[in-house]
Amino acid sequence: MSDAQNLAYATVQILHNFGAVAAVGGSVSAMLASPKDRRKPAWIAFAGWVTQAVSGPAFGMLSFYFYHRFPDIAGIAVAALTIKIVCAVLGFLLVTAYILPRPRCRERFETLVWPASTALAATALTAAAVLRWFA
Amino acid sequence: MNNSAVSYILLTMLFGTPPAMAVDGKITISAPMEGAMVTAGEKFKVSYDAVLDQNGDHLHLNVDGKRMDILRQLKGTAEIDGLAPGKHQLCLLMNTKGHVPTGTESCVNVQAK
Repeated sequence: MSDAQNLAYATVQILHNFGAVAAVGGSVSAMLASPKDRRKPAWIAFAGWVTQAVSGPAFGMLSFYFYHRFPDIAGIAVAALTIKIVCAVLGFLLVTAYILPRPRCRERFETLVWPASTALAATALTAAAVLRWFA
Repeated sequence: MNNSAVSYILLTMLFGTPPAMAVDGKITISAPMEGAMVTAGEKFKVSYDAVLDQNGDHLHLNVDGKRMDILRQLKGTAEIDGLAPGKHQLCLLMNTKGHVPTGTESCVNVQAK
């Protein structure tokens, strides 16, 4: 691949990696913080999930831009990618729901949102490793 | 020193070493041969040799369009699980680091009996 292509893929990979760090780190920090201190890590987790949701498809879009084809993945890699997508969608929705004002069921939701976001982020990170080596 | 040598040195100093000429990729499947007969339900080996093209990184082994294996060695053999009786197509496709086919490929048709 040309240097331009390598640079493009590397840039997306850097964003994707930092997105993963923010999603996991923000979720764990929010889970461990007291309820009044959760706002800042919640935004970090939110930024992480948004970055994941944007940078993930960017890999495929880059391939399409350069080669007019999407990556050829199969079997376990497809399963791992599906898990990543599901985790990113659920993580994004959960954390968005936390950040937006929600008067009803607030207390119960706040107890569950961060363990759930942490579990989703950890699952996505695990699936990423599987996708990397089974693709 | 002639003029072309001087210009080459000056251009190299300005822009760095010129890139190597792009290599045309090639994949050769030496076994089984086109139209060969294989025993249905029995494992067999595909022997191949590949020269990477400019964007190539590794090979994907497909049987009837379905991916069976990823080959990172450019020369060697790959094992294929037993095929059902009938005609099958074995293909080796060159792929980029990002698993996008570069267009360089080689296929053979075999008959499993």
